[in-house]
Amino acid sequence: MDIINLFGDILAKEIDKPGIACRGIIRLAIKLDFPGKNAENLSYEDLSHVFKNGLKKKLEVIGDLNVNDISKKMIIELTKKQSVLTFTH
Amino acid sequence: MLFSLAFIGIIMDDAITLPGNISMSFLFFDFMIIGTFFFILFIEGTFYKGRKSVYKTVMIIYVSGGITCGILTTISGLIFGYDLPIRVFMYQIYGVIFGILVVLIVSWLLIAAVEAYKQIKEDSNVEPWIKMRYKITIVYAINTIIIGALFVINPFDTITVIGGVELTLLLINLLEFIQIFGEFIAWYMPGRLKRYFNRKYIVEETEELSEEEIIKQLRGE
Repeated sequence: MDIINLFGDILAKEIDKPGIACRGIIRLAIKLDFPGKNAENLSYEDLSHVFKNGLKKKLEVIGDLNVNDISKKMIIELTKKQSVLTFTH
Repeated sequence: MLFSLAFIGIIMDDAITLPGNISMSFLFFDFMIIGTFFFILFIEGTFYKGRKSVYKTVMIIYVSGGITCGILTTISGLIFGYDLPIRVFMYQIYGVIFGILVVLIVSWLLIAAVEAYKQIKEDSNVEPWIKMRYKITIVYAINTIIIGALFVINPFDTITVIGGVELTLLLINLLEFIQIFGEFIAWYMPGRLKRYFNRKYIVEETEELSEEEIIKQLRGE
């Protein structure tokens, strides 16, 4: 299950930016919060932490984005799709 | 705490029924009721983290059902001893209560699985084997609802015994087998089966940008 592609594309739709860059920013946010941990092994709680913390920090650098709003929307999407994280690796 | 309450019902029940003639049947229900507890935890933990759910309501109904079974069998045991017809009657009541619990709880799983499947069915990033998992879950949930309904409609019947075989019990066993098989395949799918469902799935290799390039693209530079 490619978590980075899944949530990268969701982020791309949310902020209307290129998918490749959004997937990249998700990857960087995961590395920031969970260095050395494989994205596929992240739990719902881990990803929720990434969207609340690492992703916001990374998006703040971009400027001109409502990072709190984006973070909330990403967590809503994660909550809707949480079952795809169960026993997928 | 809820688990402890449910257990009190079960222990009370065991204390009075184990020496009885059909104690093993009650023991079967006890294991089923303990299993159902973990089933509720599974549904909550898999589909409803961080959002509203009927978890507490379901738990209260489940615990109430367990305690009711315990109280009924205890009282009947104390009053009537191990009189077989009374024990069989209590066993049937136990079956009806258990059946109602199964129908309610598994309907909750069915709704959760259908909602979750709708969320990912059009998403090309979700692999086909994961989509298949939801379809299997929906099928075994319907199957298990039928099991619960059979307990309610015809609890360990004395009506449809043909050639010494209780047909309802036989049907329940067959459906139980389908349920266990479905649960295993859905949630612990073997690698070979995953590869089979993924056989037409092509993973697009995308290049990884550096942090600078990512920021540039996101800034629209």
